[in-house]
Amino acid sequence: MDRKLVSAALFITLLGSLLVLSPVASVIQMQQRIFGVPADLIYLFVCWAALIGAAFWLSRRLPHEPEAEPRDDESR
Amino acid sequence: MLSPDLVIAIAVGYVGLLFLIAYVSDRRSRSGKASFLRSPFVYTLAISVYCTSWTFYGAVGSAARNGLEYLAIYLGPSVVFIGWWFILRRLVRISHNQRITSIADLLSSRFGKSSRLAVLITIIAVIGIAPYIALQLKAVTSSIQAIAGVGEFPGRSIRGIDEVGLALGVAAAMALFTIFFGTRHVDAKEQHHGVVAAIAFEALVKLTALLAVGCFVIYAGGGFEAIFARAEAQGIAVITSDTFGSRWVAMNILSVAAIICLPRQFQVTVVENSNENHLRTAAWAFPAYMLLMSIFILPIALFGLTTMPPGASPDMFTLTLPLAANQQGLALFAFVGGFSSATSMIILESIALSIMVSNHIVMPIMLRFTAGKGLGEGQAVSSLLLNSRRFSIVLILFLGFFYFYLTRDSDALAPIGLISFTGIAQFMPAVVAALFWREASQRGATAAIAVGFVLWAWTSFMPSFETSSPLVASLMAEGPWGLGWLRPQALFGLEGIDPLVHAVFWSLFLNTSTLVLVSLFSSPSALERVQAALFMDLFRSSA
Repeated sequence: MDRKLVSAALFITLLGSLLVLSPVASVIQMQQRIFGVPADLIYLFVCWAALIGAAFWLSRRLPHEPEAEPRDDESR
Repeated sequence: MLSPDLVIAIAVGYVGLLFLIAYVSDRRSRSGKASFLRSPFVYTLAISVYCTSWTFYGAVGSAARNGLEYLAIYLGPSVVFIGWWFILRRLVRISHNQRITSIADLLSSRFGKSSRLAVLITIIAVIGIAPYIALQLKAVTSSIQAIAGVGEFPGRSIRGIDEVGLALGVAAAMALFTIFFGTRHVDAKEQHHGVVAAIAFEALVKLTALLAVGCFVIYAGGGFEAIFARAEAQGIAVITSDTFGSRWVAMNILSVAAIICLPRQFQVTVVENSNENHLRTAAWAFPAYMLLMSIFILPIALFGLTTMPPGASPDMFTLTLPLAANQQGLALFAFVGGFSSATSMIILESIALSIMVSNHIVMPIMLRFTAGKGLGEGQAVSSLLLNSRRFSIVLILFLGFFYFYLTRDSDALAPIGLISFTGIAQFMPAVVAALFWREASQRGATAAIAVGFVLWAWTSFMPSFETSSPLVASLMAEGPWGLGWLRPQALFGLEGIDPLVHAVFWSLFLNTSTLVLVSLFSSPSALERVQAALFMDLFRSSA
């Protein structure tokens, strides 16, 4: 399950870079408006928000490494 | 009109408040009482030091000139944080294990603890950041002038002080503040809890200020739709067809590199990290912060373009729009927000750079000179360290001011920042190789960064002096010794493309090629192999 989550994280990261970079973004760039706002602006913000949502969901589920000892400063 | 004295008094008072926050947080964290300081949200807010006055003022100018392009600067870092599992987590883990204190330290450690590499990176970082510091000085100077009502009358100045004098004053004050903030004591881990708390507070101030101006603009403009419709009616190209071209890709690459390699970002994200799991929160909260910061940028730009007199600098719309509507309170808040974004950047960037300068340049030299005799007591070492940091902070701000002075005729903010980003991006291939490529060698990394630096200096840094130096102008027109194929913005005959894309392409292409080729043809030392193994086998159980 953990491995699948890591794969999902990689997928989302790569998908995110593709959505904002690749021809996909140019396809959206039609001369169109949604509520008077250019479609490409809306597209970028919607992608962005969706990626943030995905990252929120994933960051709580990705495995906690056992040897991840927090660098704590209690001793000082 | 708000008087200049009042504005300056408010700025000084604000810095005093910051200092108080830093001081109290430091004391509380040392007595172990400030658990909130170690919350993941303070960590995330501190990372938001990424949004400087480039964001607060420059992004509006950039949106007014080039439309959606400004978003690339925030989308790249968002993707890096959303993919924190793959790069940032490794960086934090390695740095905790190896007690890494800076980006120079990281690369030097991976490549056989090479001090030559650390010195090279430190020097490049100090030079590469100068334009970025200059951008902040320029923004603070222009904002003081705008709010004190001298912007529209270029002849007049604040009590006889011109732009250059004002910038020098700002630089000197910033150096003083940073010395107070960052060099009070030495921490073995190079962590600054007080400074981080102050930076986190500033992140809240600049966000609320920008959102307040945004809401005001939406209200005054009659909503999103009305603002876009009016802009279009006035013939402003709201929809452009070439947004997602090569410039867009180049800026995305630069911003990805910047969020990892900028000395201050490395400092807050990696060095100041006290718990790896804080990245889990920053992974979504930092992109969300940037989304909020950028949501009103384009409306502010368009509203400014349609309502402000032609010739008004779009870089200052965040401030001049409330002023024009006679909203003095809001204008003052916007000024404090912009001031916040500039001070947090300058304070943290010069602290991070001064750590690099003192650890990798000054201390090794001192140790060599005093070889055999020793440096004396621990007290003496620590005061030497602090003094070398104070000196470096002054030097860094002076370089920033000097760059500002030489390029003061350039008008836009964002292009200055992109020069710095391109310089700092030269570390990125080596960082990626350090994390993922076992065969990458010290010679390869050193040669790659040197090549990248030379190309950056030639194609990006030097051309910025075109207006102030006839020599540079003639080099750009004809090339050195009349060699046309060496012209800084048409290198090797690559003509007719955007200068930014040109510089990013040549510097990163040749940088990466050098890294790969030299690594393939050189054999690493034993120490390099050991260090490479430490970096590669990070998450393999140590059994």
